[in-house]
Amino acid sequence: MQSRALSPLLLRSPRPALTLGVLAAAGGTLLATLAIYPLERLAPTDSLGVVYLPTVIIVATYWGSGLGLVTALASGLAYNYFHLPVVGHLSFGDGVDWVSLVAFLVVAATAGVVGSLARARAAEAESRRREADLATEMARLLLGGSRLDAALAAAAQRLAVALNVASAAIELGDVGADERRLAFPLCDRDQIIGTLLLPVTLSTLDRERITGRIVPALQSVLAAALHRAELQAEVVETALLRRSDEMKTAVLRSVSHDLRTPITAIISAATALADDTPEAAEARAVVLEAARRLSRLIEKLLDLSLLQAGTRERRSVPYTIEDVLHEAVAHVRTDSPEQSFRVSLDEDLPPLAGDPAQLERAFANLLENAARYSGGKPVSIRAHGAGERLRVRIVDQGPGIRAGEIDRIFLPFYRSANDAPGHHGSGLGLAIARGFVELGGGRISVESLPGQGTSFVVDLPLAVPTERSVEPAQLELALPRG
Amino acid sequence: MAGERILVCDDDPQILRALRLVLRSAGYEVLTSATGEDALDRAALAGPHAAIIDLMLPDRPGIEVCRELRSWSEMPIIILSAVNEEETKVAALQSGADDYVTKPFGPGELVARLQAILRRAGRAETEPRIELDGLVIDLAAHSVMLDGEEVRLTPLEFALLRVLAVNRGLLMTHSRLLAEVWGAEYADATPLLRTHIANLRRKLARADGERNFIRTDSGIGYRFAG
Repeated sequence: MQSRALSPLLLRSPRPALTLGVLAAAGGTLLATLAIYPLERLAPTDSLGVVYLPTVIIVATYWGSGLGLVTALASGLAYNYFHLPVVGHLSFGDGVDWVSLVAFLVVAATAGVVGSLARARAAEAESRRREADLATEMARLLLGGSRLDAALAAAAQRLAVALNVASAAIELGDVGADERRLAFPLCDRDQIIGTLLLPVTLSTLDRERITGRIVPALQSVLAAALHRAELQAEVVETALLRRSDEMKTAVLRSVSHDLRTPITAIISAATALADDTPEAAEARAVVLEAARRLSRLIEKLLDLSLLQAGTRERRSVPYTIEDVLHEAVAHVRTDSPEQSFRVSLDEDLPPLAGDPAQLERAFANLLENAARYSGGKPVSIRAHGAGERLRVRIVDQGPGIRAGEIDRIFLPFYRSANDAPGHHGSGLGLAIARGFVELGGGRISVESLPGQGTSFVVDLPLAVPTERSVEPAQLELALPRG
Repeated sequence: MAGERILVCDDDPQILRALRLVLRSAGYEVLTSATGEDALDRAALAGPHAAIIDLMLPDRPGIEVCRELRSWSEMPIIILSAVNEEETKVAALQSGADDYVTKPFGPGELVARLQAILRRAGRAETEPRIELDGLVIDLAAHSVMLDGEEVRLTPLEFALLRVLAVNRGLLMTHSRLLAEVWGAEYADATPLLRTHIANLRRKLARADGERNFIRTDSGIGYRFAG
């Protein structure tokens, strides 16, 4: 803005009007001719030719060498005619006459060249400033707005005005040229992200300017705008997913409450029933057993819905496999009260990270399954480190799984054709076990030999060692209080 | 020890009826409320010895009722919850509850928890000796016997076992155990606690691996079976 305020003093492109130049030349020459008369009393006439020079220099600088030379010639002739001896005649006999005329011409030519150079520089600076303004404007339009398509249209319109063309368009992707429009591809890392379309009537000079100056600026702004649009889309998507997660969780909670509350009432009330006759005792046992079975089924269905709802927020806390396995054993409900579980854990098992409550559910289901098929024989549980993983092996001495069935046992509601009557499996336990193990980044597999038993192998990822680790030796130094 | 007044607050009438039956047959006197406001009124007027409060109440969250109750009373509070989530449990404990029971629960479990918190509330300060299913802890002599054989514990392991056993049946959060055994500045050192619990478990294990004296509440704390 400041440079524009100063502009009357600067050489601007294009040149001022020629008429104005002729007037300035005539007026200046006349004034100089008149001004010499009073000066002749102060200085010798021969040295007063310089009085013409300002006019010659100004005209040559502002209107070019052509008019400058004419002015120089006019000044030389006027000086010769009005002031040099013989006054009132044009005479070129004397050396002074020629020297003054030639000097005027040389000055005019030099000033003209200097003027056009300066003017060219100014024109260049002006065009750079416009390009910079244009780039800023493009950035403001493309990065400031909320919708990219509207911003592209506005930017194209602004570009058309700047380039003085009838129409311009910026389109996303690679668009080919046609008979009316030229296509300038806009790239980001060797990939065409958009195309600038301009009328074919553009001059070669303009085309070069667009390829060299406008396209590089425009493509980096467009790349930034596209990146920004992508990020915005991701933010919106994340917000939507979170809302859907919250809704799923709320529904599951409310369903859990509505299902668990009446079951609790049934079990509590049945427990309090008097069982003073064999019939009453039998009825109480039937109600309790049925209610407990229903309760187990509800828990499994809720676990399965939790897995299928696929909420994305995962809890991750440090825990030990020892805690999880002991609780799973304590929680497992088996048909046979004599069922035993042999837990054998290596010492110094590494800590794990994840959701111990979910893993506890996974192991309780695996143990329940193993107990169901073990025929009362003990089920062994062994945990040991295996490289970057911790491996838990649950082995039963049941009838084993037929090779053809192994792929299907983890499917929800799948029940083995071998199931003896009276086995009340829901067909959900193994699906839940696999679901929770995999949710925690683990893997579950099964090895089985018909007639010899089945071994479920669970591999769990170790915790990244971020926990505050304290040396055992130091711990014992911290003496107990009280 | 029975005869204490227990306030039960749940909006489900069947739960109220069933719990009244269960608690009465265990020898308690039962007051029931279907809303949080009513529960707070009754707690103020009737002075129950303990309260059992459901998390989902029609007028205000059970956690809020618990917090308000705790602001003027030391009475033991058990939270009933149908949501088996750690955050919910932690929030309940932070609002002043002593324990929680997740639906569906067996009435035996609820009564055992109730007995444990009432025992703590009225406990005499010094208990010289704790005997439990073959385990004998002599607090005065700092010795532990399992099935007649001496168990050698480090001083820290003994301190941990003592806190757990004295509060048997009660949920002891990680931070509470750490603060009581190691000191308040150790309240966040959960890995440290896990290491010692694992050692203690190993030393208290029987050959058959069946008996588990120390129970885990995943991510929250431990309780001594009792």
